[in-house]
Order: sequence, then structure tokens, then C-alpha cells
Amino acid sequence: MSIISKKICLVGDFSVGKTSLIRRFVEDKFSDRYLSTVGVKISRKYIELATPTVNRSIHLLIWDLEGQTKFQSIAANYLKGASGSIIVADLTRPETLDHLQKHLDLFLSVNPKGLATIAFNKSDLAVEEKLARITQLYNFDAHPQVIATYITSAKTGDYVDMMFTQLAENMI
Amino acid sequence: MAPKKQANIGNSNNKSETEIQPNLDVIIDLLSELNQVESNQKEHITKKPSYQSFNSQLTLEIKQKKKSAPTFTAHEVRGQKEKSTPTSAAHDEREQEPKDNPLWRQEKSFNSISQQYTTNDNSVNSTNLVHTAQNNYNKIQSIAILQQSVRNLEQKLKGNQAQIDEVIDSVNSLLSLTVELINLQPNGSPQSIIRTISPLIDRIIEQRSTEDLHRMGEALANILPVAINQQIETTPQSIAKALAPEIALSIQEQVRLDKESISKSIGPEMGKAIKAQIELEQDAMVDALYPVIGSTIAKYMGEVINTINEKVENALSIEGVKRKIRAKIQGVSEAELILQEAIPYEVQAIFLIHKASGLIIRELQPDLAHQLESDLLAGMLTAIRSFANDLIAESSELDEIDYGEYKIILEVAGYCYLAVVVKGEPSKQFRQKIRSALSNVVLKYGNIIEVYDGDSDTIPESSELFLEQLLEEDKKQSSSGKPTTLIWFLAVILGLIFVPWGILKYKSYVANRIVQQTAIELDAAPELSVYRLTPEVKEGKLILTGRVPSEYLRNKAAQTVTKIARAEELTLENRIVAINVPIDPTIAKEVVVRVTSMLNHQEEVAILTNYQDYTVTVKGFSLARLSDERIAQYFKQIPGVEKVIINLEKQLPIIDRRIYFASGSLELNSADFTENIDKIRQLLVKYPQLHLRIIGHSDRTGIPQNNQKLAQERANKIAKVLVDRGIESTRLQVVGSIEPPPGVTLDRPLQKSRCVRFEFLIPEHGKNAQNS
Repeated sequence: MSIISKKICLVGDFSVGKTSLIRRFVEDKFSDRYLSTVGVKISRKYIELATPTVNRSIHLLIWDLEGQTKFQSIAANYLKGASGSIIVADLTRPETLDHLQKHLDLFLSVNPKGLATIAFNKSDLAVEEKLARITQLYNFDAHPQVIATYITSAKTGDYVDMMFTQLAENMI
Repeated sequence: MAPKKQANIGNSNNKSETEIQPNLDVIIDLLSELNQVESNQKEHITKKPSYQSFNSQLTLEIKQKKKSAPTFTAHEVRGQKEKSTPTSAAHDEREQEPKDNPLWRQEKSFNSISQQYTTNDNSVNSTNLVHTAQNNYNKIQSIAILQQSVRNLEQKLKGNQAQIDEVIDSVNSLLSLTVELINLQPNGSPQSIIRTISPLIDRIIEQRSTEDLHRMGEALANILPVAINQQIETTPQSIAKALAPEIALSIQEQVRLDKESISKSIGPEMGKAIKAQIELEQDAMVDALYPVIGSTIAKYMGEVINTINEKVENALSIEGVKRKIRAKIQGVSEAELILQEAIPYEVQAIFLIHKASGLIIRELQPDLAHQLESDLLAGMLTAIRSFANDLIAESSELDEIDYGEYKIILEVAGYCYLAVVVKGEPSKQFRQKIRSALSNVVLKYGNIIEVYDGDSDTIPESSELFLEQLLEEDKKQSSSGKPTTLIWFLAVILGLIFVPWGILKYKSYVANRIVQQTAIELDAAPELSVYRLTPEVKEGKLILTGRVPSEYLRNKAAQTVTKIARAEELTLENRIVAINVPIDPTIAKEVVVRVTSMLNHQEEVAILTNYQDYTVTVKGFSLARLSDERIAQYFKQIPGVEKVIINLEKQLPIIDRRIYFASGSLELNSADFTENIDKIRQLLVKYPQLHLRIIGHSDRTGIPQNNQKLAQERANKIAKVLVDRGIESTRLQVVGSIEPPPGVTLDRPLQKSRCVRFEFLIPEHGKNAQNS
């Protein structure tokens, strides 16, 4: 059976850690330095899924999109043809959490059949007791196309691999 | 009664109608009877004024009831109902009360009435009252009985009503029953059945429609699609005809109602429809789209023409020259170099990419050593494309990316695009190939590509053939075609330029040589050298031009040149003009001087000429060689000389004067010395063209060496005297001799030998002209 290719996008406000998540997943590395992504950066990861339901090789083409700022919204064109997306927010910045819904809507408007995963990133910086409240406040479990919500840390690598793998699994 | 009826209906439906009719008649009869009874009662009651109020009250009540409660009338079968309503409604009012004993109520009302009468009408006699009351009671009782019967009747009526409803329903379902009937008796007489029922059917439907449109619609709705389907199957044309005029209108209406919906429903199919049409009849599609594409094609043609222009310009430009030089240096033919330049591109990779997602659909990378990261490349290309489309120009396409010596050519279709990575400069034809390859892929696999989800198994392997074709065609194409044409084109142009140029160059070289030779020859002829004659070689002819003053000279020139013309196989064309121009005397004079000088260079010629009034006078000496006639001819040739007077002497004048000296002395003391010297000087002046030899002599006595010296010194002495008197020393030649002078014999006295004598002589050839 041939390798299947899937495109996924990371969407979210600027500096929420999209690039870091990808770096952790693809290269298993992390850097504290902040480098703003300009335009788009594409990475590739080859994964083999071997779960009871799925047994397949998959090429994940991960599109790291320039984070949204006050002045510039992300280009909807870059989202085209993506099977899945990870909508990222920064746990330490509430406004990024507020924007989750907007990003999700944008992604689903471009890809009506797409799947989405929510990532609350930078869990290493967040206070434990706040987490429960935040996950309760921003709950997307009811949404039919949101397959999961993860509290991740690109720095420690918590739930990063699992998040990508589960998304990949669901896309096949 | 009802069950029986139903059984009847069940057994034979066609009888039911006729059976209902008698029943109804009975009812109607009954009712009319009832009416009769009632009106009788009324009459009866009206006769008694005491009942009037009651009665009127009753009527009022009835009227009110009639107004407020027409519930009964809601039921079907209007004709009978209208008849029954007044009575039934009147008694119905009473039915609202408890029903177990209708008399009880009557009694009650009677009591109240009697009470009323007792209170209100005191004047009425009590016995009378009781009597009338009794009477009344009886009457009312009879009314009650009547009412009872009416109610029974009514109940019957109700039952009838229900039955009528059922009948109506069954009439409605009569259609199906009729059909059944027809089915049961297919061989009987369907015609007659149809005849019986057909007039009713439209009425039934009409009737039913007016009664309950909704239900009718519901009933028909189920059949309609099937009916239409059936009709389409049997006679599609008629359906088409029926629907056709309304389709446009209905679409318009729908567009007006909901703009999006029509385009949404048609949109997805448009692409497929067009594709199908292209497969079916490409030409028609081309024709249809041509006006739109026209401008695009025009743009494309413009590009092509530009590149052709460039190539042509380049062929004759610095690049072309450089190539020539390189060819010389490398020692290969120029054609080879052009060919090398004409295969400047090489396909590195071909990618078929899904337009929206940037996922690779198919890829071809012929060079196994340098495989490109197709996934990432495709993704980035897609991102760049989107970026360019978003920010630069939405309607136009990115069609090429250059990086150094590489190029990525992009050719975009609806759902996918081709990216071809090329090293070097691809030709326009190659782009055409890319275009046709992509259109083939789209035509064949467009549908699958549209829904591509990253699984390359869904795209058939055969799609790769189209892309491979691109590689093969590319190789074939690069080794033939354009380059050779270019070489031929160049060769022809260079040939056209250089061959005639070479011929011209050679011709002019030959012509120059002939012209020079001719000029030399003309110069060599003394008579002609003084004139400016121009030889010229042109179109196989040797042409002489110039002016000479006489026909003679013209012929002379022709004669001189004929030899050369014959050797070079040219025809001589003598364009020299002999003209008798009034010659400028000064020029003629110069020529005369020149001719004179020339003649004086001849041996034994010493002449002086004078030119005046077109006449040359020649004086002097020509001793033997040249006759007077010859000399005259020389001068006669000179234009401007009409006459030559020759006055030449054949012998040089002899000088008989001698100057004598004393013995051994150089003293000039002879008596006639001065006279003699003067005489000689005069002679020298008289013959300026002649030189003078001065010869000194001595006598025989003494030593010969001394004598020789003495003789020489004596001549010198005289020469000096002559120089002192103004004679140029160059004209003088001094000689000493110990021999006695001619004519002095030994017997003569010695003194005769001691002398200096003189001889004229013609200046020697080559010496400076003495006559100037």
C-alpha cells in the first residue's frame, strides 16, 4: 500500500508556539528564541500508524502559517485542501484563547470537511489551578469536527506527539 | 338499516345510489309531513293570544340557535340538509338539555309559563286559566311527542348522514373500484363502463376539489411523479413540449427568489458538462470559447514573435560574431556551436500537484542522483502561488520562477497544476508541450484529481504516461528542428552578403592592376605624358578618358593601350576627346621649352627656340643626327604651335682668332689681344647654347713637360680673362697641348706655335642645359 499524504495546518495568534510545536514534533527540538514565521513554512513528517483500526504509512505535510496579528489575518488560501488543523492558543495569554473560535471557524469555512484539534500550549508556564477553569471555559467538545483538546508544551514535549498522531489517525 | 346499506354497497356499488335515493325520499316526505304538523300547531297556537308570547319566544330562541349553532350544517349533502335544517335546528335546541325525559322539561317550562301568566295577567280568570293551561299542557305534550319523533327522525337522519358520508367516500373511492370493475370484466364491455363513468369523473373531481382542495392535492400528489415518469417514458417529446416554454421562466423565477440556489445547483456540474462536451466535440467548444480566448492567444502570439525577433537579431549581433570567433578558436564548425547553444535545457523534474492542498499527485524525476524533495517543493510552490494570487494579481497566474540557471515552469489547470523544473532556457515549443500534456491529464483524470485526498493510489498509473511523454518529446525535439533552420538561415544570409562582396573585391583588384599598367604605358609615351589621361576598367571594358588637343594624340593613346586591352581580353573604349581649344600661349610656350630641352638632350643638338605668335623659331645647331624636318615635327605636335621656322646650322662656327705669347711667357701683351678677346666674348654671347674649348700651345723648344704645363697655363690664363669678362666658367673647357696648332708646320716660325686657339663645341649630353 502506498504512502498517503495529508496536509495539516497550524493556526493561531502570533507567538502561541505553532512553530515550536512543529519543531518538537518533527525534529524533537525546542528553542526559547522567538522567531516570527513569515508567510508559510512547510515541514514533513513520516509516521506509521499501527493502531487496531488503522495500519498505514502517512506523510504529514505540516503547514506552519504566519501567526495572526492585529494588522494581518492569515491567508485563507493557505488553508485550502488541508485535511486537518491544529488550532493553537497560549495558556498564558487569554486573548489568544478568545480567538480560538474565530480560527476554527475560518478553517472550517475553507475546509468544511476538515478536522480540528485544539491545543492549549505553553502548559509549562501555566498555573495548575487555572488549567481546569480554562478548559472548562473554552470547551469545544460539543463541536462535531473538533476531535480533541490537548494541553501541550512544546518545551517539555507534553502531549505533542500524541496530538499530531491522533489527528493523523482521524484523518484516514 | 345502516349495516344493511353497507352490505348493499359492499355487494354492488352501482346499486347503492339508487337505494339511497328512496331512503332520502322517505326522509324528505317525513320532514315535509313534520313541517305540515308544525305549521298546523303554529296555526293552532296563534289562535290563542296567550300563547303568542311563548311562541314568539320560542321562535326567537330558535332563530338565535339557528344563528349561533349551525354545527349541524357542517355536514355534507347539502340538498337534504337544507331541507332538514329548520326543523332539526329548532328541536336541537331542546336537545342541549338533559335527555332522559324530554317531558320533564316541557313540564317545567309549562310551569314557569303558567307562573308567568298567573303573575303577569291577573285579569285572566283562574278557571279559564287552568282550563287553558290544561289545554296548553296537552298541546305541549303533543309538541313534546312531536319533538321526540323529530329527535328520532333526526337520529335516523344522523345515521343517514353518516351513511351519506360513507357513500360520498365510497364515491370518491369509486374510481379505484371502477378500475377494479374494469379489471374484473375486461372482456365485458369496458366501453360501456367508461361511457357510464366518464361523464361523472370530471364532475366528481371537480366536486371534490371545491370541497377539499388540500386533500385532493394530497391524493393526487402521490400519483403525479409516477404519472409524469410514465409519460416521459412513453412520449418524452410531448412532456418536453409541455414543459419547455416554462423552464426558462421557472429558472428566472427561481433566480429572482434565491439567486444562489440555481448557481449552486448548476455550478458543480458546469465543469463536468464542459469537459464532457470537449470530449464529445472539441471543435464546437473551441468555436464557442474562441472569442474569449482570442485575446489570450493574441498575447501569446505576441510573445512568440518577440522571441523570434530576438533570435534573428541575435544571429547578426555581437553574440553571433562571438560565436564565429569561438568557432575559429576551437576549430569546430559554427553550426556545431549553434547546435550546442540550441540544446540549452534539460528537464530535471515534473510534478503534478493538487492545486488547493499542494499535495503531490504524480512526480517524475529522471535524474536519480539528484532527487528533489517533491513534497516540500510542491507545498512551497503552492504557497507561493497562493501568495502571488492573493497579493499581486488575483486573476493572473504565476507561470515561471527563475533561480539562476534553473527555471520552474508552472502550468495551471482547474484543480491541479504542473511544475516542471528545467535547467537552462526552454523553448516556446516545450511550453506548448507542457500545456498539451496538462490538458490531456485534466481531460482524462480531472474528476479524480478534483477529489484527490493525498492517496496516490486513487490516481491511475496511466497518468504518468502523459508526463513521460513530456520527457521524451523534449529530447527528440531538442535534437532537430529549430537549430538547423537557424543555421540555414544564417548561411543563406552570410552567403548573400559575402559572395557578391568577394567577387566585387576581386574584380576591383584586377581592374586596379590594369588601370595602373595602362597609366604607366601612357606615361612612357613622351607626347602623351604631358596630358592627363585616365584609364578605367568597367564592365569588361577598358575606358580611356581625358582631353588631348589633337586627333593624332587621341589615336596615339589608343595605340599605346591596345596591347594591354588585348592581353586582358577587354574591349577598348576610347573616350578621349580631341579638342582644338585655343591654347593658352603660355602653356604652349612651356611645352615648347620642354620639347626644346628634350631635344637638347639629344646628341649633337644644341638649339634655341623662341615661341611667339604660334610660331616656333628654332635656331642653333643640329650637326647630323636629327634633320631639320624631325625637329620641326616635334614642335608642330605642340598645340598652339602653328608654324615652325627652322634656322639650324649643320656646322659649328669656326673661330680663326688666336692669341700669341712670347717664348716661355704668359704675358698677354700682343697688340691685338683685347680685340681678339672681345671678338671671342661676342661669339660666346652670340651662341649661348655652345661651349668653348680653349686650347693652349707651346713651341717645340725646351722640355716637353714644361711645355705642356706652359700650354695649359696659357689656356687657363685666357679662360680666366674670359670669366673676368662675364663668361660662365662652365661653358669653358681648357686644354693644353705641346703639339703645334693645326695649320702650323715645322717650317713655320716658332712664334706661330706659342698661342691659344678656340673651338666651339656642343655641350655634352646629360650636362645641364646651356640654353636656359
